[in-house]
Amino acid sequence: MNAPAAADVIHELERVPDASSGALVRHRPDGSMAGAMLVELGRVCWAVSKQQTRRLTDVIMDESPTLTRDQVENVVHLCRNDHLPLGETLIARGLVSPPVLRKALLRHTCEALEHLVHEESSRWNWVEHGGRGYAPYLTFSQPELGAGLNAREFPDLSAMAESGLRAAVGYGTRGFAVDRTQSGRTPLAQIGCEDHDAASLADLALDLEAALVTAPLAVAQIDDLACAGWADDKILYVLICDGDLAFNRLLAHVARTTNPTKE
Amino acid sequence: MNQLDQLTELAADCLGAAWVDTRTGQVLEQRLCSDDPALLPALQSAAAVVSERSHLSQLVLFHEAKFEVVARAGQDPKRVLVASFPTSANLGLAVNVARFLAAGGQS
Repeated sequence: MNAPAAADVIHELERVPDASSGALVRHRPDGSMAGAMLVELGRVCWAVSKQQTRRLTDVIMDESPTLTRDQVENVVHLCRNDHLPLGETLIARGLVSPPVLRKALLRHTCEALEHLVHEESSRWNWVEHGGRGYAPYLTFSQPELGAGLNAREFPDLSAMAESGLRAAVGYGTRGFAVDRTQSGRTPLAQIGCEDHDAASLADLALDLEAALVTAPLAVAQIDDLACAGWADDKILYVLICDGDLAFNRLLAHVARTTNPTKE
Repeated sequence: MNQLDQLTELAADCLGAAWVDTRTGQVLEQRLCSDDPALLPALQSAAAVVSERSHLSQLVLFHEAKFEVVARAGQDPKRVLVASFPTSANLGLAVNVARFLAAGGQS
């Protein structure tokens, strides 16, 4: 069985030099490009695969049912002629909202990456470039990308993780959930953890797994973060809190809402 | 009065407490207020969780009928204060008293 796409992609992103921009490219044996993932300052802007049949406009239309094909094609035509960015132009014209566009971009990027991971076997090559042009809010962090890819590959488990996390995350807390059966510990779901890198989340998950060997629920102060962890057979849930009195606030929150020992 | 005596006095529900050396797992000092034979091994297991994780400074482990609090000593981070409480105990009081005393505080 193939390794999950999320683990592969995050592993490659961790090799990208900090604060640089460019593309991770995969080639076919004949030397032609199979696809690429564009990265700016550690965040993924966009991915494309030659194997991908659905265009971004198809995904945007899926996510925005009131949008007509004519409206989209008119904007595509305008953007081609005037060299305008498609997403921002759709937003500027009020045709899609930023959250809808963001969701569509993530979905399209994850579809492309899934093809690139599972249907290509060449090494990813890093090609640096100087240009930075993507609006930061339309780019994706490692946890977002990991959760997006896992949601495609493991939809049932990811939906369960998302639902469990939504029930647990409260004011002042954020959280993520990982598949306990996979060594890579890539996020199945995350809420508010966009600014963490995947490796630091995986480290927190390992620390909490160690605590859960002795108890069903643990709250720990790990460096400057207060973290709570609990698990079922397949999913480890982690809540994070920081700032003043974070440990006490998180303790009160999980004792009130999450404690699986009270079920 | 030492910290373990103060802990069992200030948090009267305390089932037992110990200072544990995280390098060796050795119990340096203990006050057991319950005759449950599983109590001391549970305190040692809780201390073992933080033994190889120096970045983990406080820990609360919740079980069905009890919870354990682990706090590193302020003077010597290789020593931890571990205390066990029934679930009915005041969680906030138990955690903060254990943390305060581990940090070297005196009541």
